[in-house]
Amino acid sequence: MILKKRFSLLLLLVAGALLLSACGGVMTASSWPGITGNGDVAYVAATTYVHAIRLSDGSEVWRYPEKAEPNRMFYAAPVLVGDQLIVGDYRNELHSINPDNGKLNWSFTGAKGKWITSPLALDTMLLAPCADHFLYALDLNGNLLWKFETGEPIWATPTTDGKFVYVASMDHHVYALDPATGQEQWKTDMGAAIIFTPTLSEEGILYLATLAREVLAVRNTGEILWRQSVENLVWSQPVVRNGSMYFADTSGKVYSVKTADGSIQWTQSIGGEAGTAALGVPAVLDDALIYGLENGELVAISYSGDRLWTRSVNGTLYSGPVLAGDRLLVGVTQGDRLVVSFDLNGNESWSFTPAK
Amino acid sequence: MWDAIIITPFINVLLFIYNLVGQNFGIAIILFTLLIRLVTHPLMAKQIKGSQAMQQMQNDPEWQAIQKKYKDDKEKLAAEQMRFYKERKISPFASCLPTLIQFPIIIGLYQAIIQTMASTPIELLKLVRHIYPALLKVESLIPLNSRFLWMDLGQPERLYIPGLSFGIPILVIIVVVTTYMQSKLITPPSNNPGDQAAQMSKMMNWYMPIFMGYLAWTLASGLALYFVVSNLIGIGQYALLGKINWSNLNPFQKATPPTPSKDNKSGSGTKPEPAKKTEVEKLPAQTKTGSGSSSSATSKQKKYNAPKKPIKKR
Repeated sequence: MILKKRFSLLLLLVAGALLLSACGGVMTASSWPGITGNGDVAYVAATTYVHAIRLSDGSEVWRYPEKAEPNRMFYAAPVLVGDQLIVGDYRNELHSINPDNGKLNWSFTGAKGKWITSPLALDTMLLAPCADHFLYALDLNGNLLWKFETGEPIWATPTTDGKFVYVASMDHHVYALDPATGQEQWKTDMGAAIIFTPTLSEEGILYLATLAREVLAVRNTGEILWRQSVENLVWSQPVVRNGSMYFADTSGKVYSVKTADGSIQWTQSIGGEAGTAALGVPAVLDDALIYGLENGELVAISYSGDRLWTRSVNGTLYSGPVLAGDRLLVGVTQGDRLVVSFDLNGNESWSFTPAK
Repeated sequence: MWDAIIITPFINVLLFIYNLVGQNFGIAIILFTLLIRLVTHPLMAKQIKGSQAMQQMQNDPEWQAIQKKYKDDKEKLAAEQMRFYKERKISPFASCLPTLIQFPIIIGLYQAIIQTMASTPIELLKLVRHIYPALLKVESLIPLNSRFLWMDLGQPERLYIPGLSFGIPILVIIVVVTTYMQSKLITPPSNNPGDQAAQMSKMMNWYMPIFMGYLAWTLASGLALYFVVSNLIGIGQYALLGKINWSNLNPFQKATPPTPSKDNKSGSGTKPEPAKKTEVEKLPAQTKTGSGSSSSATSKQKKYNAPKKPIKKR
């Protein structure tokens, strides 16, 4: 009897502890702040607002919309095209905002999915990828020109060499399209979903990472040149520079591989003993790459693999900093500040926390 | 701790089923919910029995008489209640422990389904990290095929019919109906006007379907599908245990009186015998000896048994 009671009590305690741990913690964000810098102003899409922030001191110029709306989340980095700021939300709407005052010009409501990533702005059109599987081509007044369907959501911004537009979809394929008509030129199966935008080199080679723990090089004809497997998940966009490609993985390891054949030149662990993940898109400087780590650290690593400096912010970094003029803007998730500004040597200058 | 013990294994089982059934996430949700509810069925049965005993107590003429007698003396009423529990071998916590153990499992089930339907970057990153590479291949799983029948399980459901400019929320309607059915069917009858729990249940029978319908309207249809399956399984579980009260579905029916327990000798048909005033007055002395004249208190050893047959409509 006593044993039974003790067992019951133990079960009760375990169940209680599990319940408490299930209820604990803070609400998780859906994505990380999307930041674009231009001249004197940076535009930051984070949760329910797009903020325009002065680069000189981090003060807010305007915010859009004036009043937050439920479920209308902004995370894709805004894109400046002419006198319009284009940003998509998680309620299937693409907005054109006046960058000077934050007033709405027009919105496109023809999509049925979240706008996870930024559109690609060409001279007279926008190519906007959507989670509803479509790539939408719009004129600069928000009118639909054509749309192209892939098999799964598109989370990567398209890229172009002037001739074709390259679209990486989560359906495992990279597509080459004619930007004028949206006609498919070729498609190639990469073997797994592609999350980040492929990096296009001057030689016309696309470098990309897939969820199969692989990085690949693809010629602009669709032919796969090489593929390199790594130990961990690559949740970052590759950087190509001077015959080398750089990328980081979720164990915090940075790789340098030869663009010619994908062979590994060096690796450097910046995630420490805990193997903290290096995620997203790094900032590319003349002498260094700046990666954001999930534990809130900002690490500068030289192109030869030397760790140059480390800074830390309170919160989680799901992406590296964005280069805006001579500043590095770090978008923080679940921190006490939304944006932290550093100079190129890693000295903090200001930070921005949205007023409630 | 929560992730390691509950969420990660649950997500892997769900994805394993998803792979097994040809990458159909709708079928996977149905089978996974069924599996978890089957595993927790013994706990559910215990919980039902415990709560049924408590409910029967509320309908017991002797208890009602005690409540009436000591309605102005809370202390005495509490003492009498404890005595009543002891005498009838009712444990007021008999349904608590199974419920508490089930809670993390059911919450885990719900969270596993939500987390598997990752539709934003951070959600997907977390999902990928949950996957056991030895068991499942990320590249063949992600992105999940969220199409099921006419639905995209990652989006709120609407059925668009040619000619109609708006979508019909079929799944929302099914959620509301099944939630209402479940609430009505499993609510034990009470004829005790002082039974606050019964009054609360009555209100919940109306509020819950509306609330669940609202959730199904706004949240991803994968969750709405889970609500439907969960409701149907819940009804099935109660039916298996013989605790379903089908006549409760009739909206025009007045409060169904309780079926007396097998050893309630005063029970004639379905109508309980009201406590007589004279008996109530004698109660304290009678109960002290354990030989109350109230017909339901004939033995100290008597335990409450749930009615074996569904209650018939009057």
